[in-house]
Amino acid sequence: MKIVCLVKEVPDSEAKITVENGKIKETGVKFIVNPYDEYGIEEALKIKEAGGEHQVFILTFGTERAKKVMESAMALGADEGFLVADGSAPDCDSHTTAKVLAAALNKIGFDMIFCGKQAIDDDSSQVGVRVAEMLSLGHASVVNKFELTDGKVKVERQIQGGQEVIEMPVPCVITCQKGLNDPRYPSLKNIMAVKKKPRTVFTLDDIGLSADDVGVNGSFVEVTKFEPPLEKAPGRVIEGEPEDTAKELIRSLREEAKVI
Amino acid sequence: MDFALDETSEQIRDLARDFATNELAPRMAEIDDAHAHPWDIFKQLGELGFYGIIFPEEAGGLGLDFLTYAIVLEEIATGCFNTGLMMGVHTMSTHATYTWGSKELSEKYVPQCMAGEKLFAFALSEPDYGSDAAGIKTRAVKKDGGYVINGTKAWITFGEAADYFLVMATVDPELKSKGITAFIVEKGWDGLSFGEPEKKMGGNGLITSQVILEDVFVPEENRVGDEGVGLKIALGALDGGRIGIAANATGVMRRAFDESLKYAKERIQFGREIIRFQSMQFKFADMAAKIEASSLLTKKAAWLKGKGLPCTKEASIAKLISTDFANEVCSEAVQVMGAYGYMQDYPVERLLRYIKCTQIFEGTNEIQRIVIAKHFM
Repeated sequence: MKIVCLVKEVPDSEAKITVENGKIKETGVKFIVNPYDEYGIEEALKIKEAGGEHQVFILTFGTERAKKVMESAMALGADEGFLVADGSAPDCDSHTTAKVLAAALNKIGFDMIFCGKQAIDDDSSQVGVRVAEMLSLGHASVVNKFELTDGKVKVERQIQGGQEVIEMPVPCVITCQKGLNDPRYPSLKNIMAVKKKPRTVFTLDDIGLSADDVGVNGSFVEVTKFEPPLEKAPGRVIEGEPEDTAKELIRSLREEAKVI
Repeated sequence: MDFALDETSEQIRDLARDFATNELAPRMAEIDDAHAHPWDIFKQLGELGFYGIIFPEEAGGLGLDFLTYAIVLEEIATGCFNTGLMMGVHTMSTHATYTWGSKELSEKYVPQCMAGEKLFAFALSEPDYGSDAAGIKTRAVKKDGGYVINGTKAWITFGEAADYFLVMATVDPELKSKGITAFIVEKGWDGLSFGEPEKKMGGNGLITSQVILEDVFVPEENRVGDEGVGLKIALGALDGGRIGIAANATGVMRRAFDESLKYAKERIQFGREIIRFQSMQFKFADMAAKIEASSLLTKKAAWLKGKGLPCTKEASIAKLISTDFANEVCSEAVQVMGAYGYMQDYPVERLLRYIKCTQIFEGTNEIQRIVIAKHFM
């Protein structure tokens, strides 16, 4: 089986995000593999290690810079890496990103696709499912249990009040939730081995797309600006006798906060 | 001189940092209080390949330079000093065997140690001979295709936890330093026993004990290098070992800095966080300067060693400065945290208790000064 894991380059969750002129400042920010994508890679590696003829591929869409993140993902033990490199990547909405990934998937082939349930930067939670729809594949999102037997996938996902169990044939798309598995650390040997493994960089042209299909041109959604969250004003402690403090609390809720 | 890491070494540094932050730092106290060898961590580091950094690829290692190794050791020690020390001592014994031992000996012992399946201790010091290593009394007498060894080794890190011991013994006390020879002794061999684990001031995540050899027969093929080169092997290993201790001390300093800084930013006295007082800022500025200086000296020595250039003086300077500074920094970290810092519920007191030993082992800091002075006498 060709198992393809979709991977997104995201800022490190520890990184301090600053906004300048409505755009996120990227200098000095470290970029990492989207943590939810790591659950997908781990699941793919587990399938491979359980035996059988399987290959684990990493597929990324990003700017040239994302090559590093593709390689970090490969260091977990993948066999091959693919990056669709285009400067328009940051301007692509979920629809366009999925379009690019679907085109690349058609190019490299697939029998099974894993993806994080969401990226930790824009949190849109759409790309995996959109890819499935574009490729007319079955899909299950936010999966926390996965089993593969005789070409059939059985997954579980948490829903309100219980677990939902879904069965479907491969190929299909699974988006992965925390708890699905315990992603491994890359071994030093695998880190070293990445440079010796096949790594392909596609242009849009290579996957049959053009500049009109991507970025602002190809997207329905345009991000006009980013704003940092407003700093929360510090709380106020009202001191005194209960009779007075209650009065003062009501007064400030009514007159200052204007919530009652 | 270039301390910049290439992309691969940078990834390995990041892995060490992630592992230290996520796996080691939360367990530092638990490991230190265990008074037992941290086997699960030892094996995990082996599985990830941390013990193979400086071994060439044909030996199953990663073929990376000593600088990468030192940087990784610093990161690991930031998470857990016991683990950092363990990695340093184990790698040092294994690497000495690889460098000096016969091909057969190397093939027999090195792969399993590199994989973290077996633990390798280094046995040089004796109750009466520490700094004066050339005077060691442990005796190896040639007999029936091997040697019979008698003697007592003291302060041996890992103690009875170790599977293998790189034992220094003299084949002829008359020859002084030129009689010292290295042997690999396995746990379980007749005549090998251990003292009670020592009760130490700190660093209790690793066992330290005497290793006692009574008529232990060692086959000739377990001699590492020729007769008489033992001290050279030991001192060569110590060059690397000293850089390792310097890296370890630098990592511990960083932890002390981080823990006390976090506290200083949260602790409120006289209506403001104590970090806002200049007296505190000066403390942290001094600590930061000491960490930076130690890290650079360590990297310089490691870079020289990696290039195969002489580094004995630089290794001693790195060890001397880093461990002295680390003692000052850990003490300041406790001071910043006041009564909390002195309590065992907070992490810095165990850093202070541990860090003292870094001025003592791998050659006391007085010995380091002698080594340094030799270069201009």
